[in-house]
Amino acid sequence: MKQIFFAIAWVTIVAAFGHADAQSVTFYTAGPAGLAKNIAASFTKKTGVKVDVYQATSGDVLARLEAEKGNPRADVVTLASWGEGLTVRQRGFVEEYRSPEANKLRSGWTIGGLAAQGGAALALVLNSNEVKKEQQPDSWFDLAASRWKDSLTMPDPTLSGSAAEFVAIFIHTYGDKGWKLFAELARNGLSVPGPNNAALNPVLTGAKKATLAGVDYISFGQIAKGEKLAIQYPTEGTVVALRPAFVQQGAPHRDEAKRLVDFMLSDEGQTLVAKTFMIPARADTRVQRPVPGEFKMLAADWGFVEKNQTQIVGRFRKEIVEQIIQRR
Amino acid sequence: MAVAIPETSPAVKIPWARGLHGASGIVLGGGISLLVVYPLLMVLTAAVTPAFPDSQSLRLADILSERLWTAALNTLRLGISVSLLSLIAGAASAFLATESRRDRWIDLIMSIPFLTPPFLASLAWSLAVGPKGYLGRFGLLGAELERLIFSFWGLSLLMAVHYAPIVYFAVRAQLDKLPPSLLWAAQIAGAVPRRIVGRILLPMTAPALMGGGFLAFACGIEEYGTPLVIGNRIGFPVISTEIGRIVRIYPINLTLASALASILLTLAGAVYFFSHLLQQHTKTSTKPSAYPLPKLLPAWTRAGLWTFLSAYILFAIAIPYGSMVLTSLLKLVSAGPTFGNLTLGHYLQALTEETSGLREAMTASFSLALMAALLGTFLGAGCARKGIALASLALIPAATPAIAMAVGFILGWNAPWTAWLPLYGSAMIVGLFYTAQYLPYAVQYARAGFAAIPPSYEWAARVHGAGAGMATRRIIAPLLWPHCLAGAILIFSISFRELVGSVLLRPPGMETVSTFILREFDQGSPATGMAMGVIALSVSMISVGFARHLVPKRH
Repeated sequence: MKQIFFAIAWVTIVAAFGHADAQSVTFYTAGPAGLAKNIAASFTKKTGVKVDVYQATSGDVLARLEAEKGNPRADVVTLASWGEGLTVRQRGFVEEYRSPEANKLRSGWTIGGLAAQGGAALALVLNSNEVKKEQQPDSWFDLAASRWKDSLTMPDPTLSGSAAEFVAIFIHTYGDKGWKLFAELARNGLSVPGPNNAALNPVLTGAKKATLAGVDYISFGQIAKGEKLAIQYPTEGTVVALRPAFVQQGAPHRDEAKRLVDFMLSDEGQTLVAKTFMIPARADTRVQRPVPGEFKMLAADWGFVEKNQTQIVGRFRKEIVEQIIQRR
Repeated sequence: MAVAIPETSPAVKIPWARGLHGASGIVLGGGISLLVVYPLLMVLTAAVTPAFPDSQSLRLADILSERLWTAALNTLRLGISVSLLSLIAGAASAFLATESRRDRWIDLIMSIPFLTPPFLASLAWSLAVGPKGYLGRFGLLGAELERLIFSFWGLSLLMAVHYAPIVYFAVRAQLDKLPPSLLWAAQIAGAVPRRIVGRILLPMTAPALMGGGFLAFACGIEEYGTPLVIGNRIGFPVISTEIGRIVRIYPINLTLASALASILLTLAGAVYFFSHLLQQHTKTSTKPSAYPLPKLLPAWTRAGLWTFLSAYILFAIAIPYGSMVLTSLLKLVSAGPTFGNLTLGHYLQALTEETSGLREAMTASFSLALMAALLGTFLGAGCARKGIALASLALIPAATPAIAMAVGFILGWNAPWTAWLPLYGSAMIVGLFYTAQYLPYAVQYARAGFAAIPPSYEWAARVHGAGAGMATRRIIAPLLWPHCLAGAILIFSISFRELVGSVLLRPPGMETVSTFILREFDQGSPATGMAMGVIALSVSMISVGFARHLVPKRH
């Protein structure tokens, strides 16, 4: 009996050994797994180069990049927030390769070696059973009203890169007025339970009515499946989180990496992106969802964000989150 | 004329065996150093000397911040409460199991909580409680339960029911070796049950209690999943969640993370030292016997214990699993648990979809967990036999957060001097990670087992001419087998569902069960994720149940 176990175990393990051929490229991505797989499959079909995909949350990808810095393994990387992209660029992870496709991207969606693969707006996501259309708020500041007491959630900016970006850009735009709003929301029973899906789940089940800074492409996908959700873009505007893609400095397969980035930004690649309900970076790709222009975007000063995001998030945690906890 | 039988194993005393003892000791020591000490050293050096030119160096201000002090104190409080609750729950259930005829069922039930990935259980709980949760909708104290769960004691309870099986199985293996004659003698001499328990049962199971209690403490201070979900909502930071924050949000500060991991190690080291001092005086020698155990506990105590066990089952299994299954059957999460909204579609999708991903993930997890269980048990038993130094070394991972160990593995096996090995970037490294991280289980169980083998057996064998190998094969191994198997099953269970390290270390293209399910929760639907969780759990439960059959029973 024991021998059989041993045999099965070793055979399976040996079979699981992976080999990276010369004609392959390693792709680390924080993006949706389905998208990564589609891109990999299409790229391999088109060029014959195999793509090994490592998909995890943006934070995990960053941690792995950091730990592997002495001996880089990844060729192409996509992250979930532009701020993260800027930081890794500053720290020397990004090869300054500007793809020829970059000219077709929306303005501001590429800088140096970073090119956005797609973007997601951080919107108000509501449970349409709990909140009828007439009651859906037009402005972020409407949320401080008493009828939203104990019924709002928001992702924790210390655990979610997109929420951190949201808070930083919101405060940059509104300053003290923004802090006042967050404080009022906290007094009104705002719940900050954890990363993105921890904030979205209570809205899905109806335990809460709405979540701020919800990543809209995920909810578009859920609505397409029939879930009772609604997405609202407040009139002041909202933050669009861009998802940067780049070739890593010191990548083992540099040429194949450049070809993969070119593919991701090409018509074919961007059509795949559009299928996930993300905003494609290319301005000329067909979409089935609202794009910037159809809703207002809060202007992002990336210099400000880079300098102040950590301190803004720290202040958020100290003033807002701790206050919420004390109210329990 | 009395002959004093030495307390230690003959291997150390006999000159010609010392060489063999030494050689195997070196091999074992080398293996453990590479597996456990080397990655941790990489992590610790990264804490004090940044490995890369532009990494941030450690600032004292970072460490002495108030938030980290709070986190450290919270961690200690949590560890103590979790280990105490686990001890009570595990020991009580083990006593009950030995007393009753339904011990096999209780064994089976106690295998289940340990198989549940904490992130799944916490998610299932958060869906079940609250006014709009499943329990709330059916009028079953949803709001009150929510207040209970999202509190310090709720957190400790959830983690304790998860770790109670560690104590349970250790104590069970020990109790099975108890000489019934002791208990009969005590009863005949007129001792009341309370006295028997206090004067005989507790001291004789002390090594198992100590070992299990320490493991529960170490696991309690390093766990990430449950304190993240619950602690985040109640403002209860612990060191492992702080490390998680530091490593996941930019700017990533590996040096600070490593420093925090060292704090955890020190904490666990202190407790281990303390427990070791106590353990010195509790060496027991028992011999199995064919006599049945006397009925010790009066009816009302037994009824009380059964009630306790039922409450445990409700808390550890019925509610979370019920919530998981219910969620997996929902067509649309937003439509709630009504009859019109039920479907088996998610199960079909998980099993048959063009992503045979779940099946591949399960195969990968299964084989890697099996490798960890076999290798780990072998190494652990070896370490336990060799003596205190090696055994203590092998216990270090017990208090290392998985993320620190994983980072250490990356730093260690992707370094310029090791990257040429086909280790990093293959599935093997994940298997070795499981082996290293869960070695302490094997060691603790083996030590409890060794404590139950009287040295006189081995001396008798040697006197009759058996060599070291023969004595080990024919005498030590069969006696140790139940303990080792219990340890191996635990290692398998926990490796199968391990999350944090697998996420970081898995090579591109490979998923394990937990990473696959987590991804479904993050990017797909909670219902499909729960369906996958139920499938994976069923597979692991069947495997463990099958393995249990290999445990020899006395009656």
